[in-house]
Amino acid sequence: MTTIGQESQAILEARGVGKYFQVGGGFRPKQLRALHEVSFALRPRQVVALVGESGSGKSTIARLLVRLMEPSAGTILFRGKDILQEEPRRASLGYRAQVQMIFQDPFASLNPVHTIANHLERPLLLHGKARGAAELRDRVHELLETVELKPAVELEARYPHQLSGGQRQRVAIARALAPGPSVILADEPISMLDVSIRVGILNLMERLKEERGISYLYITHDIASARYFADRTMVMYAGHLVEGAPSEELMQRPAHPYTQLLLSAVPDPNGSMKSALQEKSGAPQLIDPPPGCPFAARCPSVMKVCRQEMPGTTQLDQERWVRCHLFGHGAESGPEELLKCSNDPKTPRQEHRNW
Amino acid sequence: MEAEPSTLLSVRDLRVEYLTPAGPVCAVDGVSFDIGRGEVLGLAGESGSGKSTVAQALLRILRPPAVITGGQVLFEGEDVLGMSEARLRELRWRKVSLVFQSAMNSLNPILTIGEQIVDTILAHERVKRSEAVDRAVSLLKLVGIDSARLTSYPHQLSGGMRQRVVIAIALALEPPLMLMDEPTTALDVVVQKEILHQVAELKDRLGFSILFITHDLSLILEFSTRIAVLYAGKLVELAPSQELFHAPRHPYTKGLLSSVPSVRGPRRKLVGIPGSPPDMRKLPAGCRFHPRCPSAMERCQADSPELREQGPGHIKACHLDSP
Amino acid sequence: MSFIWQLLENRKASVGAALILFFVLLGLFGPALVPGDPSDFVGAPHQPPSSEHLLGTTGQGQDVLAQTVAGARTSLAVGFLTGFAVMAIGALVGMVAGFFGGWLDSVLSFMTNVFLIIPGLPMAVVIASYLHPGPVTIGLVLVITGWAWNARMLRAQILSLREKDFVLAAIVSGEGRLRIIFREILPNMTSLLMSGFISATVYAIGAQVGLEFLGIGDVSVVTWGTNLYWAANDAALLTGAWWTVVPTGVCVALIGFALVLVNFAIDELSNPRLRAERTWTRLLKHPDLEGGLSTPVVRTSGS
Repeated sequence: MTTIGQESQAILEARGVGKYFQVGGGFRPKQLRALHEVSFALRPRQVVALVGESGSGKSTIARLLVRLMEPSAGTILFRGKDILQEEPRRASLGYRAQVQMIFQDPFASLNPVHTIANHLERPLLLHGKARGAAELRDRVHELLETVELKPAVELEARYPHQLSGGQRQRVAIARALAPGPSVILADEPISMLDVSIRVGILNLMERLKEERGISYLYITHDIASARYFADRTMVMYAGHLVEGAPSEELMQRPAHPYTQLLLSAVPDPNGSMKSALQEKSGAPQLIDPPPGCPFAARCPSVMKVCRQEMPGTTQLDQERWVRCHLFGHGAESGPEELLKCSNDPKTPRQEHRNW
Repeated sequence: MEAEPSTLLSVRDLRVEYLTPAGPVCAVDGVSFDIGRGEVLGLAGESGSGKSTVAQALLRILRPPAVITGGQVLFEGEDVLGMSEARLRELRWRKVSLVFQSAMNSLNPILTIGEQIVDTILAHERVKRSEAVDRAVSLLKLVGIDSARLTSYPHQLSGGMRQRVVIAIALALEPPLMLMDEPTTALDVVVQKEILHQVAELKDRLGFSILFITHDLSLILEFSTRIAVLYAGKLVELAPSQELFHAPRHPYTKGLLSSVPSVRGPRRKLVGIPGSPPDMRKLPAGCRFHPRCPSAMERCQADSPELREQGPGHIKACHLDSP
Repeated sequence: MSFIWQLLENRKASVGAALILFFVLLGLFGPALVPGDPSDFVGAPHQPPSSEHLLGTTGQGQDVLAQTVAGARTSLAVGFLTGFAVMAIGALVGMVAGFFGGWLDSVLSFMTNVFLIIPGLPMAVVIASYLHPGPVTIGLVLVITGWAWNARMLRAQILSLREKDFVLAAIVSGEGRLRIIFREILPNMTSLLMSGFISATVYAIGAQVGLEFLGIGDVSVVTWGTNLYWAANDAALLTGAWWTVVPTGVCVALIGFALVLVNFAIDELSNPRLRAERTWTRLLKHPDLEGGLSTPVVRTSGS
C-alpha cells in the first residue's frame, strides 16, 4: 500500500487497519467487515475529514484510534511509535492525554449527575494539570473561557441538563482540551446541534487548532462541512477509504465515482430536485462481502475487473490518491485523461465541474 | 389576509400551548400561512421553533399536554379546529397524510408491507381486496420499489426503502395534502436525493401539495416553492424560495443562510448566529430574536414586531427598515 | 441528594415515608412503651379487646398488643436487612458481570439464571428446614433465594449505561475502572437501586411472614409470622378470636402498602412523563376534553 504524506511528519497514522466482527453464531458464523485496509496519516495542525454514509465505518476508525476498541488488523502509529505494540492491553495515561475525542451527542456525552466543573476537574487532576483547589478552579475557568462559555463562575456549577446543546458541546470540547492533547478525534461534533450554532463550533475548533496546534480527524456525513473545516478530505465507502485529496480539490474535481455521487446528492439551494441521480441506490454488503470493489454494484462506470479484485491505491499527484480501477494500470485510459474527460459536458458528472 | 380560492389550506394565528407543571408554554404563537394547490411550502426552523408542532396541530394529532388555544385552520374551506372526531378521522389520511422522520420505524413488523398498504386502503375506502392489492402494487411502483417487495417484511428493507413505503402509504388515498416532517433526516444524502426527486416527480404528476418541514436550509430551498421561517414559535419571514435565498430580509434568515457551508461556489468564512435558540419557558421580551440579532435596536427589546409585507408574497416580522 | 428532596415533595412518597417512619419508630421504641415480656402469660386465653388488654389476648393468654409491637421489631429488622442485602448482593453481582463482561459475566450470569429458575419459596422451605431455625436463618434463606432477580435487572442496566457516551468519554479521559463504576455509572442508578431495595424489602417481609406462618422458623421468637402461626395453631378463626389475627395482618399490609407507595413515587420521578401527565389531567378537567383522541381546542377569552 502506498502511504500517504510523509511518514516522518505524521503525528497519528493508521496502516492497513481493519476491524472485523463475527456475526450470527451457530454453525456458520459470518464475518462483518466494518473496516478494511484503512491507511492514512494526520499531520500536526492538520484537519483531515472523513466523510461517509452511516455504516461506512467512519466512527469505528475514531474508536480504534482512541483505543476504545482494538483493531483486528494493521498498526496504529503515534509519533512514529506502534502503540498497539507498546501498550498492548490498554492505552497509557500518556496516550490518553495526547489523543482525545469529542462525541456526536452532547446530550449523552456528559454525565447527568455531575456538574460542569466536575467534568473538567477530573481530566485536569488525572493528567496532573492542576494541583490544589485554587489552581484547579483557575484551570476550569480558563478552559470554560477558552471555549467561549461565559460567565465561567456561573456555568461551572450547573448540571448538563441546564445547558443548551451548543453549550454542552463546548463543555465536551473543553473536557477534551483539559489534558492538553495534540490530536482530537471529532465524531460528528455538529450533527446533533441546531443549524445556527454549528458553524460556531467549527470556528471554535479552528481557533483551537491555530492557538494550540491541535490536529483533528473530523468525522462527518456532511461533505459541505468537511469542505469548510478540513484541509484534506477522505471519502469512505463500506469500510474502505476510496479517495483522499485536499478538500477543495476533492470538491472541485472528484475522481472516484462514489465521491461524485455524494457530491451530486448534496442539496443545492439553486437546484430544483429535477435532476435525477445516475447511480443506483442500495446499501453495500458488509457481511461476507463479495470480492472486488464494494461500490461495483452501484457504480455507473463498472468494469469487469471491479467485480474481481479490490483496486489498489493510485497516486494522482503529490496530494491526491484514489482507489478505483478507472485510474489503475488496468484502465483503458490514464488518470489525467479521465479527469479531463469528465469535464466533457456529455458525461453525467458534468454538473460538478463548473462550480 | 383573505384566503384565495386556489388555497388548499389556510392557517391563521395558530396558537399551541403545552401545559406543563410550571405553567403553560406557548410552542406556536400566532402562525399564519396558506398552502396553494400543487405547491410545496417549506417550514424551516431550529429545535424549539415549533415547526413539528404546527404540522401535528394541523391534523389535530398532538396529544395533551398540548392544547390549541387559538387561531383558525381551514382545509378546503372547512374549519379543522371545529371538526368532530368522525370528520377528523376522514381528514386524516384521506385528505391530509403525514410522513415523519421515524415513520419508517413505525411500520408494523409482523405484517408485510403489501398488507399494510392494503389495510390502509381498506380502512378508508369501500373497495374489493383484489382492487386494493392492485393499487398497492402500483403505489410501490410509484415510489420506485419493485412489486416483488410486496411480500417483504419491514426488517427486510433498508431505511430508505421503508421510508419509501411510508410515502406510498401516505399517497395510498391520494390526499390533496401531504405533510412531510423531516422525512429524510435519518437517511443518507444519496437516498435523500433519490426519494425527494421521486416525490417531486409524483407531486407534478398527481398534483398534490406538500408542507415540507426540515431544519436543513439547503434542502428546503431546493425542494420548496415558498418558505416560511419559524423562530421560537413565531413566523419571522415568508417568501418565495429563490427570493428568500438571494434576498433574505429578516436578520435570522440572513444568519441561517450564512451558517450553512456549501460544496458549491467560493469558499467563504461563515459566522453563524451567536447564542442559542431561546428556552421556550423563558422567552425574551420584545422580538424573540433580539438577544442574538446583530442589528438589534432599543425598540426590539420591548416591541414584538408585526408581520409586514415586503414585496409581492414576501413578509417579515422585523423592526429594521420599517416605520 | 436532590433526588431524595424531590421524592419527599411527592404526595405518594410522603404518605408512604410517614407510614414507614411510624413503623420504624414502633419497632425501635414500641417495646419500651409496652413493658414486660410479650411471651408472658398475662391473662385468660382468647379474651377479646378490653381496657386491660387493648387488643385482647392470644390462645395462650399473651397480650396481643405487646406481641404485635415486639413482632414489628424483629420482622422489620429482618425485612429491611434482608432487603438491603438482596439489593447489595444483586447490585454487586450485576455490576461486576455487566461491566467486566467476558468469562466473568458468563459465570455470574449462569449462576444468576440458575437461581432465577429455582422456585424461590419451595427452595426457602427446604433450606430453612435444614438450618437452625430463627429469624437470622429466615433472612439468610431469603437473601439466597432473592438476590438473582436484582442482579439480572442491574446487569441489564449496567450493560446499557456502559455503552453510554459519557462512560466512553470517561474512559478516554483516562479514568480507572472502579472510578467509572462507582462515580460515573452508579449515581445514574440511584432510583433503580432504591426501588430494588424497596421491592426486595417488600418481598422479604412478605416471604418471612409466610415462612414463619408455615412453622418454618423459631416459633418461640415473637415475630409477625409466628404471631400468625400461633393464632392458626390455636384455631383463632374457628373460635372467632379475630383480634389475634387482624392487628398483625393490618401491620403487614400497611408496611407493604407504604413501601409500594414510595416505589410508585420513585417511578414517577424517574419517569418525567408520568409526572407531566398528572399535571395536565388536572388542568384539563373539562367535560368536552375527556376521551377525545384529537388535540383539544381551548379558546381563552379574547381570541
